[in-house]
Amino acid sequence: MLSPHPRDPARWPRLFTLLLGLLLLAPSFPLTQFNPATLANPDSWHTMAGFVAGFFPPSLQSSFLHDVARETITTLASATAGIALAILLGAPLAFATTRALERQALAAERASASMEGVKSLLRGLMVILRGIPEIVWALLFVRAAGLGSLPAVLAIGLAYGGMLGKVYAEILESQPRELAAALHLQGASRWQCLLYGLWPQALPELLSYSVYRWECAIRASAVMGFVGAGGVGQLLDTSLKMLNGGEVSTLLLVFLLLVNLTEGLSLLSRHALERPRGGVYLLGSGIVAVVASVQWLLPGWRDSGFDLSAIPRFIHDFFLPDGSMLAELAHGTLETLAMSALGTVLAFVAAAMLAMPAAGRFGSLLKLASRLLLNLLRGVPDLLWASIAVLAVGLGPAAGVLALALHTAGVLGRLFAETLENADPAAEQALRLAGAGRVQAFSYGPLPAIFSQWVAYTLYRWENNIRIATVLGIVGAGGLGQQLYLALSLFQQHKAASLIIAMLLLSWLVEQLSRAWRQHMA
Amino acid sequence: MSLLFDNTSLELGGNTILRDIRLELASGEQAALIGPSGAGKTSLLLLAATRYRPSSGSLSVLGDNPWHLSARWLRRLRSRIGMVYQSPPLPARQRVIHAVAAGRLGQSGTLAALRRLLWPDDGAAIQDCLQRVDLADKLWQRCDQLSGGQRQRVGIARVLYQQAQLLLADEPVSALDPRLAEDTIRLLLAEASASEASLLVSLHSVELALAYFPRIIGVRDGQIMFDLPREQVHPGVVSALYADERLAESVAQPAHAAISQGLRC
Amino acid sequence: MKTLKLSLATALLALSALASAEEAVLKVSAIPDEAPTELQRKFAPLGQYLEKELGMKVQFVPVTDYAAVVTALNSDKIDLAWLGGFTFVQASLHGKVVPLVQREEDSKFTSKFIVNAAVGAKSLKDLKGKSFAFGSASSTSGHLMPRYFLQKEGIKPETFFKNVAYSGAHDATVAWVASGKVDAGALNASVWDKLVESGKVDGSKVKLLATTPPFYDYNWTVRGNLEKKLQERISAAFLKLDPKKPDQKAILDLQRASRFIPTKADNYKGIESAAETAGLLK
Repeated sequence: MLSPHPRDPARWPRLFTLLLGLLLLAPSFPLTQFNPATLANPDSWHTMAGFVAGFFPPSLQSSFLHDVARETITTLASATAGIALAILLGAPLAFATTRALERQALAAERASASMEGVKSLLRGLMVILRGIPEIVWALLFVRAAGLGSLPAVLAIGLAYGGMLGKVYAEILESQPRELAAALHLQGASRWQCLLYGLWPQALPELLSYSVYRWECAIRASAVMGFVGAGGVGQLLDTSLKMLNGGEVSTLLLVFLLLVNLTEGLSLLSRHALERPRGGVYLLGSGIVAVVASVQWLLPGWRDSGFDLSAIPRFIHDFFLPDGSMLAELAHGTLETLAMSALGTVLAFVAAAMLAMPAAGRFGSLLKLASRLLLNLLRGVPDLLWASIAVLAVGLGPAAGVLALALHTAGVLGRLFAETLENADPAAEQALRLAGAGRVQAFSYGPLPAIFSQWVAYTLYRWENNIRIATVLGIVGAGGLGQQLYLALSLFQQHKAASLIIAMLLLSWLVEQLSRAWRQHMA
Repeated sequence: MSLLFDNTSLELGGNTILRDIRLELASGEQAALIGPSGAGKTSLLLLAATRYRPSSGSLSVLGDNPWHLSARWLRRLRSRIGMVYQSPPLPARQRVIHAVAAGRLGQSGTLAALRRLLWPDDGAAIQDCLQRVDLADKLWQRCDQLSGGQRQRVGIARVLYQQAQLLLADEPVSALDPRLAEDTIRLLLAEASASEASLLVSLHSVELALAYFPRIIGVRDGQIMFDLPREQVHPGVVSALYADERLAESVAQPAHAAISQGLRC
Repeated sequence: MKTLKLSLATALLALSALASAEEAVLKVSAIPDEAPTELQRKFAPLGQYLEKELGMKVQFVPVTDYAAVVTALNSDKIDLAWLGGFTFVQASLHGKVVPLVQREEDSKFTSKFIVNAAVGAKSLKDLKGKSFAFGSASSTSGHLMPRYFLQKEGIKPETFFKNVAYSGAHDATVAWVASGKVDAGALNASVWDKLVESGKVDGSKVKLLATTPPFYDYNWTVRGNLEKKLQERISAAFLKLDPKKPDQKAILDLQRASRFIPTKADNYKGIESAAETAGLLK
């Protein structure tokens, strides 16, 4: 006789979460004007095919290629110089604010209130530096002081400086504390504790994170041209505006090359770190690269008429922020959130579908093809996808959704494929041996473990996408960015100030929520 | 006839794992495989589970040669073979109800299986199987919240739910403490008798094998050394089977188990 | 070999830049209302003419952003700039600038409303619920005046159209409407005429819908603290351009000017009040 079994105790919470998710997602469609039906419409496929066909063949005009080569070097140089500036800014900030060197952490001593106050101020500064996206920093510098690669360098320096400061501090905090504590008890100063206690263990991690940031900086620097801050982005902006498909595809190819090249270099330097004296060589080549970069950029800076003295006046214009545009701000923020949510969900679906072949589940040919596709999706930065999506589906937030979905699908797809490959095959194999079909074995075997990992990755990525969604508007893809770009074009600085504050708040809020969520999960 | 190995050999990666195995297991029969580690016990079980294909000789499982069947019929055959693993292949984070329900995937359609992930519909029967392994209260728990012994019993519940006609078990109790190990073996034997399924179990403990199984098969170096009723298994036969290796094995085995426990669930 | 030549050329350029650092240079720029390559092409002969007339080096500073030209002029980073009516108003509100000359055509400039043929609109009112593109947000003939005249017709773009976009430049607007990226758009009459004359507009795809009443647009403006003498010489050089001389006619043609005439700040009061009405001068 079968015994009665209890109902799933989690059924109501689960149903509730699902409904809540759908409820939150539903308004995203009208808010972003994203209509999935248009994607299925044969007419729009036809337009799309014509649009893609316009990309062939890539433009190989020698004068154009010459420009491309020059701007590519400028892009690399701006990123390198920018990272150098970020390190110069971030390292002292980290040293000043890290809890790893606090007296109360190293020994049972009381902290001084004034020191704590200064630290809080510095931490607040870092929040602002990294809370404003680098492309917005670049836009601000361009508007305040002039065009050229200098705004790009300063933008990367400030935004990444704030980020490096935070991460460097955290790396120092994650080191075992005993060494620094022993030194501190021997009477060593803060500096000495750093140099003798923390530095030796933390250096590889610090260097490898810096290299990783450099990789990100190159992607960032490549799109700075969209706001007039030099590099290949500037060429791309022009080619896109003039709908010159051949030039666009050449630039896209250059982009992918650049991204792959930097990934290779970054991998190489991480290997170098494992060798004896590898750190020294890495540091040395880094310094050479920075000097060469500045050398390359300097003539341009002299000619560009970049006007540092204009910056204080520009800042002065920003006060006071316009408080009368709350409705506009709310709309922009909602649009931004809706774009990020919908784009992330679509990306999740696409990534899950691409991850299966990419993990080699359907043979090696499909594996290769899907890996290539994932690399393309991931290699092209979101802002660039946005400017292409604007051409494909028209201006507005729908383009932003598409851009986020495309780029994020590439990022997530690779991660998903990795989890699939790393999943223990035993569970699935056992089910297959018990007669389960492929789909069944997959959904009862690896899926439960993988799925939660996928969801975690996706949520993490969503956090990132909210920040990105705030700037996609700079190329016309909706959200707060579009309002900011217009406000700055029309010299409406008070309005711009309010928009930047909204961006900062959004970014800060998301960071706090995500941290709380992660602590909750752990 | 549940299982018939006729001169069956198995090569993997150029190494001969099993050589000229001749073995019959009648319907409803219960037998234990013993032998030093690396002898080929697991491979023999996996051959029977149709995990490996014999490199020579023939093999019949539940009356069919699995490797002469079409994919569809092979699937049907497999759904009638139940396997209990040394450390049960349960995904961490999967809930027990799904882990057990997975036992009948071979008998259900793909869409039904996907639907059941969202809305499990055979809860009573699953609950019943869990009841038999003393885990009735764990229906909605997650696998990674269970102890090693409990997970092993979930693995058994899955096989019970599967209603297999041939039960294979690969060292099902090596990670369990002695009392629990005995209970588990008793459970397997009882369930196999109740459903009239044949049972072939590889065991690391000779004592357990001798205490509970009427038929003992000794495997060493990929060959069957002896295949005797329990009464004829003398201490001399056993020590010949384990000669030179006994010490090394008993040290190595638990460590291995611990590692694989850590990696799964 | 090629790279060697390239690096040699770069080195020479760098050297000449150093050598000329002391020489007086007139830095000229223009709002990027067309593609940058087109701007350079248009400016080259005019630049040579100015170099000859003024006896000083003339350097064209390409800029991809309307607002950046205003900022550069206000912060004395460029000396002379070709501005639109709206950018001139912005510049004069942010600092001292002096308008020198304008094309004869600029005193009665118009904007054109164009529409994709497939939309089948006969008047502006038919565009309700369609997508619409202005040029740059800072453009007079591509944004401000079309918006102003739309408002006079009782049309508020943000609510009347489904979507309001900024293409960035006049020729881009035409390309967007032709490709169907947007249903309709507004642009500068002079660029429209040029594109039609050169056969770059596919008449079966893009239709002219309406033309605005005339207004004052583009002019050549210098920064306020530029030497008075030099200001006068620049004005004179422009005014001297004679359509009867073939080489000067070529320059005027590239600028799409019949001739240049003097202008004054008051000419742009109308633009300023239009900008205020349209809410673009807040």
